[in-house]
Amino acid sequence: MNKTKYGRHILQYQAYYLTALTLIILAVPLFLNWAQHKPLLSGEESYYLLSIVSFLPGNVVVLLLLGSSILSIILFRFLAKKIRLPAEFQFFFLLFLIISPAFIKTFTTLSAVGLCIILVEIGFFLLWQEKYKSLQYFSVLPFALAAFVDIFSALLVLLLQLAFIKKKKILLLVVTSIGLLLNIIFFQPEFFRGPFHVQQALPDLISDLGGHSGMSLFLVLLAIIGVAFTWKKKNYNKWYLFLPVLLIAYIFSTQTIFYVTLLAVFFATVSFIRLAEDKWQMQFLQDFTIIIIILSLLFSSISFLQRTAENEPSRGDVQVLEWVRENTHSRDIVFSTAENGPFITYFAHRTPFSQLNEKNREKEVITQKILNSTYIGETFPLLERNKIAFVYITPAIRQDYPQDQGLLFLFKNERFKLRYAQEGHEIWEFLPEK
Amino acid sequence: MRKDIKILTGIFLITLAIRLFLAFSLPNFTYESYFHLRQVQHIAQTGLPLYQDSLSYGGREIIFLPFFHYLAALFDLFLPLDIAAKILPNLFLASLTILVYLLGKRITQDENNCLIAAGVAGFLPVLFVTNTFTPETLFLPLIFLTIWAFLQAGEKKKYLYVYLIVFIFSSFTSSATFLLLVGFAIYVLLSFIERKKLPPIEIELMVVSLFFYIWSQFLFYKSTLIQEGVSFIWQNIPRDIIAAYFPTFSLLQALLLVSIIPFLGGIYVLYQALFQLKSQKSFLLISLVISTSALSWWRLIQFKTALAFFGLILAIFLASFIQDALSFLQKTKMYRHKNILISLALIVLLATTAYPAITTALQQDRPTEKEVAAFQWLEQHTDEETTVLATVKEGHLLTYYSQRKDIIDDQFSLIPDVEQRFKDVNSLYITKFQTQALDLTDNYNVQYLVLTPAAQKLYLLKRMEYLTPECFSLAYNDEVKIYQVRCSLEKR
Repeated sequence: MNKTKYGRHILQYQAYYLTALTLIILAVPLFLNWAQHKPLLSGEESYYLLSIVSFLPGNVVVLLLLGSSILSIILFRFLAKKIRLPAEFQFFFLLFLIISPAFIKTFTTLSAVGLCIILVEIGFFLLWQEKYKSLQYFSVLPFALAAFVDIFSALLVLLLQLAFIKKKKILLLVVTSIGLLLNIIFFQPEFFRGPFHVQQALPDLISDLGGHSGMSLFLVLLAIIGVAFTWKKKNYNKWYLFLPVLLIAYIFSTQTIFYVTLLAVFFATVSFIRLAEDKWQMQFLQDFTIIIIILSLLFSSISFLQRTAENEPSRGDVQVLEWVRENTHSRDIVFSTAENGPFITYFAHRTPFSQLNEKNREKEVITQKILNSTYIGETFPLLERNKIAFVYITPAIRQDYPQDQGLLFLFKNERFKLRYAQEGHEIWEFLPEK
Repeated sequence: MRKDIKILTGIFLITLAIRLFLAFSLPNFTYESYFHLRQVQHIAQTGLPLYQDSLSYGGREIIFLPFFHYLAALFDLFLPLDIAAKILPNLFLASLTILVYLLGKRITQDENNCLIAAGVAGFLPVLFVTNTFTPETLFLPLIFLTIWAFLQAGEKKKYLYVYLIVFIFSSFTSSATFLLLVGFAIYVLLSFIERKKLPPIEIELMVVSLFFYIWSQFLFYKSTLIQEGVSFIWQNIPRDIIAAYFPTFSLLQALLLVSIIPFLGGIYVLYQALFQLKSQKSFLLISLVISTSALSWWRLIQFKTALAFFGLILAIFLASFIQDALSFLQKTKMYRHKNILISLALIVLLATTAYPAITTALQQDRPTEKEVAAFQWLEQHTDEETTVLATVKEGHLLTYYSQRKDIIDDQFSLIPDVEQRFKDVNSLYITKFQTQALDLTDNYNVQYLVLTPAAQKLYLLKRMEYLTPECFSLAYNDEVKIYQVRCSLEKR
């Protein structure tokens, strides 16, 4: 890239180009939501967190998200310079990161992982201040706060400190560890936060297989090639430290996808630069390969961006759940699939029967029994025992469960009454026995 | 002209002549061919593939790789489609004799042995389906040409361009091209284990092929991948019939379809090359055998494709096996009877390849003339919007000859609730209850039921048990019966 006039220009002004690209890419899902009259924020985790910080208006949150994404990119550049990554590497690393579905998902929704990343970046930013050394002491604060996200994130922060702080600052490690301990003692956090959607290892990793986050298959391939290229090089040892930790973590929780993506983007950048800079026997083969890689990565991102328009909540979700808020008793329990739990809490202000992040096995079993049971003798006692007053049905439930059996079939029974419906979203009341 | 080229031309022409003789003597095409014939017809008329099919499943989106269809449409310009569709696949498959000869020469310099291997390839039973018109018939020669060009590319630059062009065509012909990529991966692994350095040009070609292939498949199958996820490999085939497409690996079937001598000879050479001689020349071919076997074992590729690929590579190895066998023979007293032994071997070879090949050709699963006539009758005597019940395999026959909507056919991808649809179609044939049948005909808006001898054989029935003259009138009565649905539960 350094060889051409345009390449040099882009590298020189990469901060501006990358910031502009970030804004454009992140604006697409927001614009698509706005165009469909949907809430600007999407994703189950967003609404789970919004229920907690309900004092923040949605639009302010969107602005905060955009701001934090830009801040994140600027801080990444700062940190990349500090660890002496070449300008070309910084550019491609950030380019691949910005167009990765995991980044788009993380910074267009409210997510604890996004918050953790920003805190860690700020921590390192303060720690690596050379001009104002007194700022270094303030780095303990973001690091300690990052330890409050979940146990895994806290351990990852500790690992990062061990790997990237040259003169081991015991104070930092101690403060982060204390943060983690306090978190464990007072908040009893989960090891992995979430999940907020039904986890599937492969689609959650590779967005091209229909996942809601993840990365492009081409990025995965490039990352694998990158690992092969760097296998015996000692200066990559630090990065290899994270490879087993993140892969094992991913097996247990796909919520860690953003961390995995960061590492994959790193190795993908290594291999991309090597493929682009090495001398090939046939120049046109090299050019052809590079063009295909760039096109493929762009295709994957565009395809993912198009799909973000389908993310929930939809306009129907909001209309029906707001109807529930205005027309039902505040103590009513609403039954739906566990993924809809955060939406029921946020929009309807009602208690959902189950939520995925509760990790309540018993409720998961009951949910499946209610959805699949064909006999009223089994379904009705379950609904009564759990004090379920309303059932919330979405088009996704209608698609995933058979119409001629299970709960959807039982709606023909007189004890169910359709109270409100909009755009395929329905709220059914479960009436008491006469 | 060199003697070996003359003989090779002879083998090619004999293979082609026998194939064409059988193709034109046996009427009609195999059932799955009608889907591709319809696509070629559409391309010839409009210049575009029929990706939005209003007849299949009553109207659906269907995505496929179109290179084969465009190529056939090109021939359709100056030959009637029925004739082009019989000539082209046989021409493509007969050309495998030449490719096997060329690849054989890469691993053994003995031309005579390569000619025998070419002859065997021409009569491999698994490939002797003369009335088929599917992209696989083009894919096989393309992929073997790709392999040959890849092996040549290291020596002469011009083959590099041949490789790239043929690989691009192959990627747009069949997704099974990934067999080659998996083969490349194993090739790299084997070379790494054996500490053999790969030529840089080969690495460059492998990298470009990998990225191009994935990109090309994404271009076409993006929506399929998003909708079906990893299950796209199994093409949304209903559980009840998936075993027919991805059966468990059967050694006996492999022996019969690849034929016994190439199979055993090939396996022997494979063993020797891999564990004893470790010859780099055959490393790529060995890798391809391993990749094909593994993917077939794990049911990741269709058994038929795997077996065809496997059989051809074993045929290439046969050249090496004959060379080894002859040099072994030279060391024994039997060498005095060399000519008798060679003649005997040739007779055995002929008996175990040509005979099963001809039998395979004669037993191809095709519709009879009367079945075709019945489907043609539907076109002339029913409304354009009519939906007709036919079996899964007859679906394309219906859309091709009758130009009417089917409920199901063997293009299952992107069909929601395909399991239910498959069950419902089966129920329409086997149910005893008229109410159930009418409920289903109402659901799918079926106006005619077709009962062919093939359906009778499949469902082991003479007629549907729920048929009554009041609700189902016999509209066409021959070997094939067509019933018009006259009742509806909704109307009652």
